[in-house]
Amino acid sequence: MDLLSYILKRVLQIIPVFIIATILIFFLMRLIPGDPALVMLGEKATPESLALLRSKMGLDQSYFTQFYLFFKNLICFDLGTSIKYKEPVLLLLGDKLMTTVWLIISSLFFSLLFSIIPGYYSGIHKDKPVDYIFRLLSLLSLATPAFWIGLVLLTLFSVQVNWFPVSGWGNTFEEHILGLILPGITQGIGVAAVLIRNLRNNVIDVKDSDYVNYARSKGLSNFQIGIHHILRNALIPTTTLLSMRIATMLSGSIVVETVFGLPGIGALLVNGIYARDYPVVQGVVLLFVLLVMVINLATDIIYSFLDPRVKLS
Amino acid sequence: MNTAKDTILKVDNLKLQFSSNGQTLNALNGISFSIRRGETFGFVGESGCGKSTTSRAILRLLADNAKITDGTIYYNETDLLKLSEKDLRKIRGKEIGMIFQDPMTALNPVLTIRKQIFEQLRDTKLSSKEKEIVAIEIMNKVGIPLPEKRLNEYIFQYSGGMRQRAMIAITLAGNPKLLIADEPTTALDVTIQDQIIKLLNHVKEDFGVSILLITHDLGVVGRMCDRVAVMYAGYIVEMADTYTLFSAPRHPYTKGLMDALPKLPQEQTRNEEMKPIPGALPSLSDLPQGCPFVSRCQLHQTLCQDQLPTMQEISPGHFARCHYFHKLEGCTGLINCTKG
Amino acid sequence: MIKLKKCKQLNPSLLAGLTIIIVISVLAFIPGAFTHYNPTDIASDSILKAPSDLHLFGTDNFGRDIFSRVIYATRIDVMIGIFSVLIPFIIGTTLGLISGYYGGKIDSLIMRTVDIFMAFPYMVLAIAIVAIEQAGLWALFLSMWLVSWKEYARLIRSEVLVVKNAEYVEAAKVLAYSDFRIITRSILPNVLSSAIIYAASDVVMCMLSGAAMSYLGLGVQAPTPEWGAIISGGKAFLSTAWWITIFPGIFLVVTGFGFSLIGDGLSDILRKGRA
Ligand SMILES: Nc1ncnc2c1ncn2[C@@H]1O[C@H](COP(=O)(O)OP(=O)(O)OP(=O)(O)O)[C@@H](O)[C@H]1O
Ligand SMILES: [Mg+2]
Repeated sequence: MDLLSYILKRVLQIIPVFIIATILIFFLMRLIPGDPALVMLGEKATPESLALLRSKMGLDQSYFTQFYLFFKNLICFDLGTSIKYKEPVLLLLGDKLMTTVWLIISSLFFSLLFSIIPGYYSGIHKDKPVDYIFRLLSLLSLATPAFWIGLVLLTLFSVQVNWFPVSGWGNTFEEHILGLILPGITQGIGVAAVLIRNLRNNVIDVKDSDYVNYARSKGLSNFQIGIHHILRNALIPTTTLLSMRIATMLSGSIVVETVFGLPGIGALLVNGIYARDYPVVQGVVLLFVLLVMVINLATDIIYSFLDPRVKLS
Repeated sequence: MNTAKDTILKVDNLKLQFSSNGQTLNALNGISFSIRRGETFGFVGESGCGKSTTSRAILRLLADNAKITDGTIYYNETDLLKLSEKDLRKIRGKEIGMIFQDPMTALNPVLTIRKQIFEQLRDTKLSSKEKEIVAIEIMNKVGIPLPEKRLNEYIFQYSGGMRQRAMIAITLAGNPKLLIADEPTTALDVTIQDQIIKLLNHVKEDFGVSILLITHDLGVVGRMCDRVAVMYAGYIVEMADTYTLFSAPRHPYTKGLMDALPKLPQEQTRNEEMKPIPGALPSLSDLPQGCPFVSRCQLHQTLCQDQLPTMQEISPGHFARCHYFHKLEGCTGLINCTKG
Repeated sequence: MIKLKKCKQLNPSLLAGLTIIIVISVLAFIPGAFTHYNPTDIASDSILKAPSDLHLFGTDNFGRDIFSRVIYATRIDVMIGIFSVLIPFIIGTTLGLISGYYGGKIDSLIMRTVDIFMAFPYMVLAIAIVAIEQAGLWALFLSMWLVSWKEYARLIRSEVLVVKNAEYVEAAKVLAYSDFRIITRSILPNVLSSAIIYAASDVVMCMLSGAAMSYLGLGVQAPTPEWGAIISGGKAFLSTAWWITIFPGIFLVVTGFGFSLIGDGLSDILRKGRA
């Protein structure tokens, strides 16, 4: 009940931001140079057909009327039709969204895989050689562009030894998994760098705390203390950071999907820009904004589950 | 004299150093004392004198920069300092349990009390149902109402008085024979302090444990301890049974502690916070060659500057580390103060 | 004596980072001193040549010397990193100061604007901007500025809220100093450190994003040498000419690493200075 009313409250807060973001996107799209009708029909279109299309698309109306129509359609989940694919944008988005979601799940997996153990040991052995090595490594991976890691991994594991597909993620479940490994690693490395530093600092804060000392006085093994008392507590802020990073991963997926030829919404956006397919661009940007808001809300809820002291309010 | 069998813990000539910023801090400089079975032994002294360090050294729960340089710590027949980390873990919690000052920081904030009690029962062969029964029983014994419900709560959901009880319950769940309580009442307000003192006295009988009590508060000592050691700058400067110490202090520092107490009889039983004696602890990195108390002592003479006094047995069971203890003869300390 | 002490205090991260960036800056300022090839010269007789004495990093599919392209690209990439941060730093800091110091309506106006910009994922807004402008360096800068300022505004504002009630600020108010003087003399010096620490890592992020945009074809356009664009040109030849993608990437990593080290060292020093 409590949770439900909290979500409701937050959604109500989100709505005005979303509306303003919508207005912003709408006018941004109108600023794109070139005539969308011309783009749709091509150079050889007659003036009559152009005018017809313009009035069909509402382009001859005032901006205010145009926005009104746009917003009305939006509420009815009508995002217009893609110029390039000649398909409803909503269907396209639905089609591609799953790929991106899976890419992010894979990235989350690898980022945790690469960060928990290094972050923990770095913190436990603060200022020892291990700590310096992991800190340097995380600085290094912060400085490494994802698209380049992706290309290097592709060269090594797809071109040279053929373990993974060079492009795309096939059609079957197994092919999907195989196709998500390298993109996940690519994205995971950069995120892991941030997580390692955060987890390290949290472990340092926690490891000499009273409750860890008390747990020691109970005779628990280092492993039990490490898992239940140090990691359990140190991971709370890290998990929050990670879920905030999902929004950044959405941006990252634009590049990663392009590098690995994954048919997700990021690649859709880039292709939309290339083709000046502005209904698609508009739709993807709106979807991104919506996703970011949902992720932020989810982050707060997850946080309250991980840390019983936090009350949602 | 007491035989070894009566003694549960015997610390002998314990020395410990911290290294920090290239300096060596002599935090403990030859601590010797023993605790008898079933007794409550108190440690008093002002902040920074090494009370907590002593208690942590017993279970070797020390910071990385601490080093025990000398001494033995016998728990029954075993020298804890010779045990491997693994064997020591069998002592921790199950033979010697600890209670910390502030339950809000000493208990894991994100684990339920149940989970933290169950951790103590990890090596028993009990099913989780049986563990639950044990846990509820302990919660009842330490006076936590509605234990079935409260087991599932987190420490922050407990009220002030219940928090310390929860920690006591968790520690007792390990069934220790010796309880080390490091300022268990300092963080509490007066009425709750009172309840916890009563509870600890009750627990001592009920569970048959011995207690090593660390405190600032002479009032708590009076109400709980059978014997007391007074610490100063990493030394024990005086040790006696509580009555003797209170009625006939023989170290000027002990005397100073008592003089600093409020004198009104009605105030006397409660809130006996120590008022600091003029001057400060000597620096642990640069202890004087003679008596550590020399700079603050009214009795001091040249001998005190040159030579560290030894622990002398003044009367059976009453020890003091002072060259001129006899000058305090006839001084009747706290008992006199309160009565006169 | 004093000098010696300072040397001892010089943070190793900072020192290593500065060394790297100085070397990189030399490349950026006088690329011509290191190579006699013109980065845009096409040579049909030396296409896709592997690294050799003649072409240290090999050549691309137009026969252009990769080494000279990579060296000449240094200036533009470092510039993208620095200028993408400089302008938002100034704008964000100013807005953060105003927002935190005055509070009230102006504060909520600025912070709601921040909220809206926060809702746009980093690259998405940048890509949308690039779509409006003709893709190129200016569109790239514009988009970086639009997405970066908000962090500085937030950081500075939260620091100002802490400092605002400090004694020395109160004292300045009692002396009836102008707001401008109080903000610039009493508040600004005390709130800047966290923004500076963030800026150092932001330089890396902006440089990498700029390269990523160029990789996508939405930033610096061919044939201008830019690391991301060079890498993009090599992606079709992963199996035959790895050198086109590998070398500019290494330069990106090293430069980013240098800035990261500086940021790391700075944050060490500034944090210690506070404690
Ligand atoms: N990890 C450490 N590194 C350096 N010095 C330490 C460390 N731990 C404790 N000390 C020092 O050792 C001395 C004894 O500390 P300890 O905590 O035992 O005092 P205490 O008698 O328990 O004081 P309090 O009443 O404040 O709890 C103090 O001077 C303290 O500063
Ligand atoms: Mg203490």
